Amino acid sequence: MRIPCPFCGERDLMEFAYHGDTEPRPDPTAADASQLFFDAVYLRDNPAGRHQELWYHAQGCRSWLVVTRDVRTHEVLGATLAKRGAA
Amino acid sequence: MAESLSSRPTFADETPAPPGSRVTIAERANLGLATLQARKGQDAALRDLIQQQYGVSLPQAPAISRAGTIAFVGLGPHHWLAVADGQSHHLAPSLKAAIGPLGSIVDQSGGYVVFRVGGAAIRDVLAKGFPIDLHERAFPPGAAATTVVAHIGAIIWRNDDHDGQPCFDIAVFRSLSRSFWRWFSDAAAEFGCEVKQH
Repeated sequence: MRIPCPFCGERDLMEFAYHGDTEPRPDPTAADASQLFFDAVYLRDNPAGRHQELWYHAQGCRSWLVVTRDVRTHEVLGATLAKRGAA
Repeated sequence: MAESLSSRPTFADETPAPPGSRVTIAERANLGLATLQARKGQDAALRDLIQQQYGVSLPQAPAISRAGTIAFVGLGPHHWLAVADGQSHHLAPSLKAAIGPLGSIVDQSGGYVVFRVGGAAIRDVLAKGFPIDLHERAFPPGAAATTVVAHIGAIIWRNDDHDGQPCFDIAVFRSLSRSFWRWFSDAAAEFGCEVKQH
């Protein structure tokens, strides 16, 4: 699998670290935080197809990326820099 | 003050070259190295200031820009490595004084070792360890990349050709420079490797 880093160009998977999908995590200070986390971890949607994921280019430009990937085929459909509010 | 790491050549006493070597390597001693990161929203102001003070246009891509004895390598968005001949630990304070609050500077003169490699067979050697394309078409003089070599984090940039042969600089963390050296010696052995003093 190769990821097209917007800064570095196309790079091998080994340069990146996976951080999960781009859905925001529940608020850990909420009153029903344990239920929210249960839902987020066990009851989340996991559609066959395109996912948006956070990857960190640890061995390259050290940018966080939002990568669109088809989890059925591992086809990478694009990557953009993750910026606050842009993901 | 103790002798600085960057002024003490680590790899000066290695075996001399066999005749007919097609690969060369030298450690660039006394090099001033510092990372520079633009503070939030200060990119344009920082670029203007570096242009005025040093006559260099900060690259906004993985590339190296040079003027005289100082160069800036684009490492990532808003992030550069400054490289200055002979300045060692004096580079970071002088950069800090020049740019003030527009960016953050960290001295890396003791943090990295920079090797200058070249020769007719150098691409064949580098291809054994770098996962990126260093061919003329993909990596012309002035190109740079932050990547790995033999699983060691590395910054590589291409200088102007030397004696008609390609010439690269490779920066690796000082603590891993011995591992890099071993890898390079093995990878270059089949072509004959000359260790030069820089």
